[in-house]
Amino acid sequence: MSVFATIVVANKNQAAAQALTSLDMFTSEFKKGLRKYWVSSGHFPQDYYDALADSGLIYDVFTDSTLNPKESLATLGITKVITEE
Amino acid sequence: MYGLGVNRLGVTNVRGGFTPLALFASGEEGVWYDPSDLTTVFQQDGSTATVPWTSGAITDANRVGKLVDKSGNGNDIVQTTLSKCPALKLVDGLYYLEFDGVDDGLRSANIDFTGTGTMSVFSGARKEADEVAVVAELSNTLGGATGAFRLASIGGNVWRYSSKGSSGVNANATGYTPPVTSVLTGLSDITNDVCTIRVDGVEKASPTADQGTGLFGNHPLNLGARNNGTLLQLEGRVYGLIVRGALSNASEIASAEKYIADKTGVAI
Repeated sequence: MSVFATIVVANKNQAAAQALTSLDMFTSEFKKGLRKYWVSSGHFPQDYYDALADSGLIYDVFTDSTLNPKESLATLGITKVITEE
Repeated sequence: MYGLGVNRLGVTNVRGGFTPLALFASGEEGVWYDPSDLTTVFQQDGSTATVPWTSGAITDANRVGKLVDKSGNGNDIVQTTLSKCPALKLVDGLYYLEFDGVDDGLRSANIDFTGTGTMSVFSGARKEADEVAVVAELSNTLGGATGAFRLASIGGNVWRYSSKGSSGVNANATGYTPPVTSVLTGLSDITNDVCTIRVDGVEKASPTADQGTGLFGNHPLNLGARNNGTLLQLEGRVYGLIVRGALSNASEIASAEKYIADKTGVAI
């Protein structure tokens, strides 16, 4: 089983969130001013989702799979970091 | 029916029996990914067939964790992290991978293109956002690699094909305002400084700046984002991808573009 979610963690919590899940998660960088955030969006294995939900590491989470994840993230005022080269 | 004279050259067209496999008949290195061939599309575990989404909520069963390479080269492309798997959708009879623009992406193991300095890339893609995003990229970072290419969306309503030996050159096709679905072709010859982008069967740019020296490299192929979904994530769709380690001739280009167009629902 899995849970759809778009989960945001603050930069200071990235390593802890990855320790609960995978080094391949929370690898997408977003920013708001000088603040950095890391995002994973999609289907999370239930145990990963539960561990994150219980961890206190989450900055914000969206679970409505009918919404565009980027539009959900935009409501937080955070934008994707684009590094072309 | 498609009067390109291609049958005389042995590259038959779609309804005459063209298959992209013909592009690899001489042992060319490369890939051919076809999301419409459900025998080649698997979930995150790499072995359970993906079920195309048609309506309702997307589930695990609709996620794609592996596309089998149909070119005969064994260059399958994978994603082992569930949240990074794109969805396989079937809408109006067309199959495509939907990438979320946040963290979705697929990546192959290294593909050894060191035997060639030429390349042909064919894809059908849709972009939903006007931003820099990878459709397909050979290497994990074009700027840091030699012997690489990238087919991408660029801000300012551009489709771009970049070809790089020891120096990179960008071919820009302008005026493609999202949301837009296009048949994209990139052509490279590092030695002879060929870097061409074609959109919907028409050549749009072919800068001849120096691409430096060397052949293509031994790099992974990324689909839908850079470096396994970590950067330049595409918010959009990919209907298919052919990468051939050779410079295709006019009839081969016409056949491949028509094939991709039919898969993409674009009239050319």
